[in-house]
Amino acid sequence: MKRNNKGFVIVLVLVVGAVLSIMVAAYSLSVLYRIQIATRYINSTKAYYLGSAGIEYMRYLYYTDPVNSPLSLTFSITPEGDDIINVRREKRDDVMIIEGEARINNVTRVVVCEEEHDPALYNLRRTYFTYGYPKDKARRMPIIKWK
Amino acid sequence: MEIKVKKMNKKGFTLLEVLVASLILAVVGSGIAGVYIMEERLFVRTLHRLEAVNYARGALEKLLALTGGDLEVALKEGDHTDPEICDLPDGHFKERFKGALSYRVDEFKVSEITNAKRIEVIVKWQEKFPKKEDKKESLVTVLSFLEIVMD
Repeated sequence: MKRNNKGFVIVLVLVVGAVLSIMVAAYSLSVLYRIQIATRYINSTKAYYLGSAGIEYMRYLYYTDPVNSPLSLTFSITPEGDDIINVRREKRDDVMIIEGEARINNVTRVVVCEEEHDPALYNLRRTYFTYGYPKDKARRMPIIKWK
Repeated sequence: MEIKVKKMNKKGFTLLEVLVASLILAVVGSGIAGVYIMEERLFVRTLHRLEAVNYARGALEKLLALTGGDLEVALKEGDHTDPEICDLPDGHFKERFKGALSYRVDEFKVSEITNAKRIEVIVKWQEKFPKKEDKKESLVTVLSFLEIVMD
């Protein structure tokens, strides 16, 4: 009996150690996952406002000079210059669609503005919505702004 | 040799065995504790970043909702700390971590056309652990000033 006790203690310690290690590893992974989600949310928020900035600037160019304003633009607006904004506009029937795609810290987001089209009246009904990325695989998010 | 092993088993663990086991446990335990502490610190810092971005988002939405004369005053070029836009709610972020919000407006142009404004809302705070460290998060957007131009 005495001879078996030592082996039993070793096995018990190893089993308890293994269980504790798995618990610690699982906890660590869950914390890392939450950090990753939070970081993604932060970058996604930044990308959303950058995409909106692209739309706003394209609208500005269009309404100040409808004839000569560009159909697409690429630029950067953060002081650090770590963002890329691509804006495109096109007209479908009477609706002008402006799409601002912004990328920052490896997160891309697309913001779209659909606007009833009339160069003389800038303040018509506008509908904004946004996508994750890539756009064709992402769910269309609820309308976020209506003016 | 065989007799020695049997003897050792009957007596249980020797002092040397217990010491070696304790040493291994201490090394492994301190490694795990180090990872745990580092992760907790990183997690708390990320929560502060999240909080800062949410405050910045709130301020930016307040700015974008302004119209007419209020908008014109709010978007004068330079640094702003207007209490109506920049006040943070009372709480640990403002008091313990010395959180402060401000925003900067400057002229923005890609082509020769001007009058669009770049707005950068900046939230600054101070991390306390493991050492005091100044941190900053910002949200940047463009407001075209179109309404004022068209009026």
